[in-house]
Amino acid sequence: MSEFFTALSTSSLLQNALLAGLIASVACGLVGSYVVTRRISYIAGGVAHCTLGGMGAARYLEVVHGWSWLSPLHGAIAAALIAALIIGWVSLKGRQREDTVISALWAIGMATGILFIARTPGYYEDLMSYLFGNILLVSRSNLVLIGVLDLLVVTIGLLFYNRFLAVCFDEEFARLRGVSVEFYYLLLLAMTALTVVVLTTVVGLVLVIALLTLPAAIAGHFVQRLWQMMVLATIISAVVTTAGLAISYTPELPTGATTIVLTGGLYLLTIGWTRWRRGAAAR
Amino acid sequence: MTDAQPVIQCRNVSFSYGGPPVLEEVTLAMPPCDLVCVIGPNGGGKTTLLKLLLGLIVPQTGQVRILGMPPEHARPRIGYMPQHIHLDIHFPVYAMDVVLMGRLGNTSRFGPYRRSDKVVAQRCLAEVGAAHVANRTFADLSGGQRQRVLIARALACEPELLLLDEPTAGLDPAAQEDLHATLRELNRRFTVIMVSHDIGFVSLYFKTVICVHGHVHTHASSELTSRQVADMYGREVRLVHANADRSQADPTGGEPAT
Repeated sequence: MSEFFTALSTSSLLQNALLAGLIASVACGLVGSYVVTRRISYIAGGVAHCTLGGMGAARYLEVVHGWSWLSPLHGAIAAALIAALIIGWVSLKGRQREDTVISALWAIGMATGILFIARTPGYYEDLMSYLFGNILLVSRSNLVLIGVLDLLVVTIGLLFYNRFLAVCFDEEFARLRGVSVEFYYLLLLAMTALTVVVLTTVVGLVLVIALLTLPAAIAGHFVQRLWQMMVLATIISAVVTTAGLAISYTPELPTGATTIVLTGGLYLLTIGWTRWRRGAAAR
Repeated sequence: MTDAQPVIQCRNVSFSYGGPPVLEEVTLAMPPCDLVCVIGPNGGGKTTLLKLLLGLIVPQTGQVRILGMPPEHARPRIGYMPQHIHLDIHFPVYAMDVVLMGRLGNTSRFGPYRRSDKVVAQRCLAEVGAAHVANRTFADLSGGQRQRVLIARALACEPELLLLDEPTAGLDPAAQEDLHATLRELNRRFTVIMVSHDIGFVSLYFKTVICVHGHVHTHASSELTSRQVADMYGREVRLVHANADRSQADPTGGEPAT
């Protein structure tokens, strides 16, 4: 662990990684709280897996066709937004079974991504870093893009806090008060999509759902209001991403997986502690 | 302003969710400051009637007018309290946060609520006798307190008409009586319409009773007979009338003692 702190002062890779984790945590805490209370984590899962299609396509164009200005992160943003809007539209129209559509998009997005990556040199390394993340590969320009997305999501999330709260708590009542429920639902899904992309750089798309929902779920056991949940979830997320980085550094463990195991452990501890306390109160 | 005009007017309204009609040929008119109870068996169309009045669903035939306007236009002037079973009670909100949602139509589009919104919300909570729970979590409240908070939220819209879907569900008799007293107090200012399952004492508290069972019949509550109710529910029902001895139900299903 001390090795990590020594390296942190000299290695710009490590500094970028740490910064990426901290920036991502803000969006994670804010949007994660909306996702958990509105119960749309399955949608977020679908969106996350669809990003592979976008990343694969962007990487293919970048390497094979020499579109050097394009990076996988751009593809991920496009794919995530498209997937979120399709799922949102289906869920609002309600003509199809929503979970079926999400599962289909989930798989089709991944399949598309794998086909593109198979046609691109460097197949295995790319695929692994998209799926499970490689926070040590976050570049300066990626960091700037993540920061912009983060700022956008957080600004919207705070500006419309009251309306999002009302839509998440009681959609029908919000509609009767003249709130455009459909607009805010789609906006929330778009913010979820962007947050998923940001978090994907930290832990990869397979593990992203845990990082999006677990800090908010843990926070939910200790808070009484939504904004408190957001603040606590942000802190928890910042702690686990930093700890994940620090713990995995010396033994060279995969950082994303280490972070997720830590978060999951914390979640189980929280549940255990809450139960124990409830039991103690009953005695 | 609304003295001459009925608060609610339905003309030949029929509605179905795609299958057999839920409501047929509904015609009714409610004068201002009426206190109305909507009763009827499960699946009879009580909630459907409320949704038609709110404009959440549109009738296939006929016309609904609220305060002389189509329901969608009248919405800002309607306070609505839904059945609370569809809410996630573990949602992290203070009672005050919930009541403030009633201000959404009146407050600014961005940013926090105004100070004046908080004043209104606090006043509405006080009006239903729940001022002391303002800074408590919704999940920690009792059933009766939750109902009161939701009524306060409907009041925070500063409505001219209050629609309540089963506000007494799950409350013990004492809490129900308290709630009825609160509603009578609110009724001095505007029309109150509530759906209820509890029909035994309906004529003690309400001026008008709407019986919904596919068709809709309106009665002055003093004229409602046990037979009419029994026909609707398909079984004997005990009714208690204000001018009868409270402890003695009307066992014969005959005409009320007037």
